[in-house]
Amino acid sequence: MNSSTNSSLTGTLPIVVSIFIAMVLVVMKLPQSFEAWRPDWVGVVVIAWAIFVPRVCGPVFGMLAGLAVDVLMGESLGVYALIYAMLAYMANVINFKMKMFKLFQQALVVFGLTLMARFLLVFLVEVNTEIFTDWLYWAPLIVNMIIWPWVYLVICNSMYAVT
Amino acid sequence: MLGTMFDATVPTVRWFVVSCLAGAILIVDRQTDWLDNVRTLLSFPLSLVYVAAEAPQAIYQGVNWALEPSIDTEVAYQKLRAEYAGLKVETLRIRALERENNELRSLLDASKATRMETKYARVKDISVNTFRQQVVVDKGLIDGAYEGQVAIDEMGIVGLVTEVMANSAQVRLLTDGDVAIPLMFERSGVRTMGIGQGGSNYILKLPFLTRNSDIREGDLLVSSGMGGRYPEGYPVAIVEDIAEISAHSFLEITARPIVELEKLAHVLLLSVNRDVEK
Repeated sequence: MNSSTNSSLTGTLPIVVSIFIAMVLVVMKLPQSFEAWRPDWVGVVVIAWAIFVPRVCGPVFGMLAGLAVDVLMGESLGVYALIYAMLAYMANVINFKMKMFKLFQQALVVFGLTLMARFLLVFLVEVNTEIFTDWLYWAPLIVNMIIWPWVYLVICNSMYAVT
Repeated sequence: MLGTMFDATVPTVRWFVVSCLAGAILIVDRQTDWLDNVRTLLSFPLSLVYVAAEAPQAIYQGVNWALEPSIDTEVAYQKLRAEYAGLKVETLRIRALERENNELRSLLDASKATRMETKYARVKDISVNTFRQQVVVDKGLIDGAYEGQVAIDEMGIVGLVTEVMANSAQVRLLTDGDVAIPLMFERSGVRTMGIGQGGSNYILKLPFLTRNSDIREGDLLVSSGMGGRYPEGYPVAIVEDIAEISAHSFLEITARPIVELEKLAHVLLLSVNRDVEK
């Protein structure tokens, strides 16, 4: 009993640490010209965990990560919570397929998932919808694809390293 | 078979519940301030994220500072001393005026002028939200910052504190898309509203002025103090462009904030003491 609770604690450690690092990367200062290309670090990490350990990281996990990001960004509570809960659920649903996919195929799926997330974001944040027509608004989706393999590999290995 | 079709690992019910919950939280947080305490509570562990995000910059600056040749401290000291003396005299004069003003106000039976206290806050080297024009400053709950506080700098008004965390606060700049500020033309006394434009342009629009308004390019806009949120009489912006569109009866006026909001390095947080007897 005691050993099982202990192992579940060390099991969640990589999850917490990776979300923390993702949040740091979200608020870290970048040169002005790179600012628009900043990927959705937390979103990608949430997807990776929801695929890798779907029983642990489901919608509730997504919502908690989202609430933290809401506070961090000064956005209304619930905006990112709603978005990341959706991302986690969808990743849960397709986790079997995703595990079979090659990394670049996974990256394409991540593109689609984060595309939906970004659409939802505009409607929830209610900033002027002119932002839609600015192609730079969608730039992070490309970077999400590029960072995906690295994030996924690091997350898989971190879990194996701990357990 | 049914078992594989409706796999138990897919948490559909949980997703439904979580979505409803998150949606409810969103609506409640938009409409009321019930969740402000939750936000503050969450912000305590999360301020660690800010610390970590600022660490590389801080280290870089530390190394830079160590490698830089020291500036001539004697010269700098003398200069600052002279400036300090000048400001000190100015302060004394203002104190006297404030007293006189309060006496006059009490003769008129008007309420006493509100007394402002300022607190210096450094703008942190992090960028929080690409949708918003907002900055994070290094004064928070512990230092007595509160939501709704007005941020200024030595030139004029900067914005409003929208969220207070443990030892940091988020200041929304007055050019953000969700911000409006009551203004007055210093020259003509015309009152109007300035609406922030957001996005990547740091300008205000003044959409409620008709063609016969007494306005010129280069006019100074100060805060009018209407509504009681912003203090009265602080410089805000300068009229940059006045466009007449023949189909509209309103002018299209663009104003540029006096403070260089893109390059903000520090702000002063104003706190209002309404019942100071002096």
